[in-house]
Amino acid sequence: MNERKSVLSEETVSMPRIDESYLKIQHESGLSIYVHPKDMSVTYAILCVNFGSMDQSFVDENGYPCLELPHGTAHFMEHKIFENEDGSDSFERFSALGADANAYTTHNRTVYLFNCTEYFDECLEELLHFVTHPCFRKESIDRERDIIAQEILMYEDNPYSRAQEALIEAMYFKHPIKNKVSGTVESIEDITAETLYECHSQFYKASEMSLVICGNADPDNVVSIVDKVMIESNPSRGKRRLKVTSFEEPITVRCERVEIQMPINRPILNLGFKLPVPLPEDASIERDLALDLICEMLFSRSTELYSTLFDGGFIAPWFSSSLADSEDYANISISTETEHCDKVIELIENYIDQKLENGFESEEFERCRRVGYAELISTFDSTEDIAEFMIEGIVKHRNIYDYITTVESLTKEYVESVFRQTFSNRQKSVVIITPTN
Amino acid sequence: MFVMKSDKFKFSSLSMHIFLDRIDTNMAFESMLLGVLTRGTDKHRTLSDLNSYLDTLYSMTLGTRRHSFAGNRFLSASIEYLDKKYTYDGTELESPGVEIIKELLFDPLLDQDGLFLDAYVESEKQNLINAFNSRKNNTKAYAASRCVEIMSEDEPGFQSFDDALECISNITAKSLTDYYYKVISACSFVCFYVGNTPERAISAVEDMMHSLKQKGRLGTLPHMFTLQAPHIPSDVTSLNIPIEVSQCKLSVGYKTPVVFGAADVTPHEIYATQLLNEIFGGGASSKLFLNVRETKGLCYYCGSSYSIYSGIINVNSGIDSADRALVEAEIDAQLDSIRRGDISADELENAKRALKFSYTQITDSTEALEYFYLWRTLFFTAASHTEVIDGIMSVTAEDVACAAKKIVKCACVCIDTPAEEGRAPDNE
Repeated sequence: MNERKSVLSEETVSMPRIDESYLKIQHESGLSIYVHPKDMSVTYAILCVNFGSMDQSFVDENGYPCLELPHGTAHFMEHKIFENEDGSDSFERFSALGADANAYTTHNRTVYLFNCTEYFDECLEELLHFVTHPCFRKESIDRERDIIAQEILMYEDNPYSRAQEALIEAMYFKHPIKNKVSGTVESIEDITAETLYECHSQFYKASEMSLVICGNADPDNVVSIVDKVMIESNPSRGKRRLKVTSFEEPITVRCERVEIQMPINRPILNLGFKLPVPLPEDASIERDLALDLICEMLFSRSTELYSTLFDGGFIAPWFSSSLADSEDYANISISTETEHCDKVIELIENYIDQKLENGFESEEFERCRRVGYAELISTFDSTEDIAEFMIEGIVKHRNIYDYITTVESLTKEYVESVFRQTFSNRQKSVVIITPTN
Repeated sequence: MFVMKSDKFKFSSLSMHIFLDRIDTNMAFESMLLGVLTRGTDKHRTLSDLNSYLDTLYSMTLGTRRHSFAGNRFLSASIEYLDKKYTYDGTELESPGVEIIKELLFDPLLDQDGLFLDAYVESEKQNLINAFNSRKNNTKAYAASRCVEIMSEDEPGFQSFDDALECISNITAKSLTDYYYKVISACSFVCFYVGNTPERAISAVEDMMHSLKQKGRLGTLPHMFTLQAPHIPSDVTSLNIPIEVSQCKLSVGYKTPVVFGAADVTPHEIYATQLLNEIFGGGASSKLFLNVRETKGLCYYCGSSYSIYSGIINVNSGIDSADRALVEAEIDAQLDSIRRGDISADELENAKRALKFSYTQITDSTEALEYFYLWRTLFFTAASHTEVIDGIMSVTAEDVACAAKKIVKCACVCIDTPAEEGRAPDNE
């Protein structure tokens, strides 16, 4: 790459064995840039902001409470930031460039993205510009409130997302993960243009953002566009000042069992295990991958457990498990349709206890390691998957290729030790959605 | 066999599609057969045996599907597998992959009387019945599904979910085994491969075909497939489904005779109808999104889709009950505006770019490549995706307005909280 004053550092990270590499650039503005070349038709770009639904209560530099945001603020911002000063909407501008733009909010971040097959430069400039140059008008915020209220109601009618939300609420006492990403119809009433401007100036700083581009993009060109938008127009600089208010989350669950009635045909069971959070020094790629493999060995469609549940006619063919693992929370949720909720819970618990007592078979460990390895490699067949994987890595300060080398070197003994640490003292919550009469 | 060599992917895909042209068939039997076949084979006798084996092949994906294109029905099995170069022990996966498709389709698990296992048949019956009934769990998808179902009632080979449920409950191990033998007797099939090492895939498929020929199980595909034009009803069917919901789910259905492969329909008309759909409700710059959502704030989602095989254009939205008439009228009004030729240069250009984007990104996915090239080549045209893009770029606003005039409103489905006194009666 040509030398540019605005580039503070750059580093190439590669994994020749799988024919992949990317360039990491630290930009003068504070923005971290990652360019992953890929010979695909679609180039995918993500701008990730470290501001999510869990960022609600803040203290100042002296530890005094100074800001309390209504639930759903980050998500509301995600909806409204596409509007420009001249009244135009960036969604439409992307459309005019033949690009597909979108955005989403999670518990710990807000993500703005586009994918395009042409006009990459114009699209990237648009992405950087609209995220750093907000325009919040009262009348459009009022209108957006109605749209978001409809989005909230849409999820309320979906029993599967309702069950998952209720499960997280049942597991946690204080952790802000228990609050809905989109907020509630009531909480979004309190969000105003002032709220959004305050959040933008506090949290949408270049140093709190990462830009990931995967596809046909020239790094030098990317930097020149970043220079133009992030230096010349001088968006907010500096570091985030406010810190999230700390809280103590008990290891137990808030509620062991919740039943909700909805107009469905067959009961839906969501079973959650609240797992202990690792000490910062224990958090590692090895541990994350071990947890993935444990889920695979316990709950995949290849296990004895699945055979017992499915062949026994206890569950629907679909039986899914998902692991949520962050620096201050960890849980596994299992979901299926069943008329035999208590029997299914008992069989799952017994299976886990049996594995805790006897350990995993070498054969099943190797089988699941191959699955984990193949799933990681499959990521590299899609610019979208690579970009999303890179964001996961960035949030956890990790090199994505290390996941591949690590899964190859994982041992059964290590995975079993993580299994015992996390599952021996697991805490359980159950949510059952039952049919109304 | 169709082969597309591409060095873009670390995973290759191979699929086999059996053409059901010589038998009486329907959704119930097709779904049951695929369900039972995937429960276990003669060699891998349980679902967990089969899945465990696939896991050892670097998480090879084995999928089955039913396809129906205007009276032409197929049963398909496909695999996606890691290229040998990227396995950590140099395992070559083409041969075991083709073998597992062959095993699934031609070496099923049968009991001593030569019938499918009764336990698997009964279990799959229950699973399918549960799955059909569970459609109502997701009201957003259910409204759309019922709307499409209503518009498909007069199409050849149509079977309603209610009829399918009845048919499934009467299926026995004997009747399903008989159906299976009809399917595979001298079946004609086509294979499609996308990946970096076609030589190995072709060789593995040739070995399978040799073995099938010896068993007399190979027919030939017809030289020409016949695709039937859709039936356009003259009346609008309106259906109110009473379910307790927080948000009313509205699905409005339209039909056009402009479908893929129908007599007298040109590719240009299809491109014009695709553009019409984009302008109407295809994305964030469509008339529905901008007017119903952005300007009037009536919903979170309101968009349309167009099936080039069935001619169905389906608009779906989640709204406040009180706004139902307003939203429905607005949807119709936006379509009327296109019929009148109210299409700006920007709208047309944006729609063209959106479709160009969609067709260009086909080359980034083995599944999309197969879907585009296999079915188009079989039924209609050998045009490449770049030729399709060129065709789309040549469409004018007048062509789009003309396409809009061919569209007829056929159905309106609304899921809403049960009627109270004074409201229109529910009819499901």
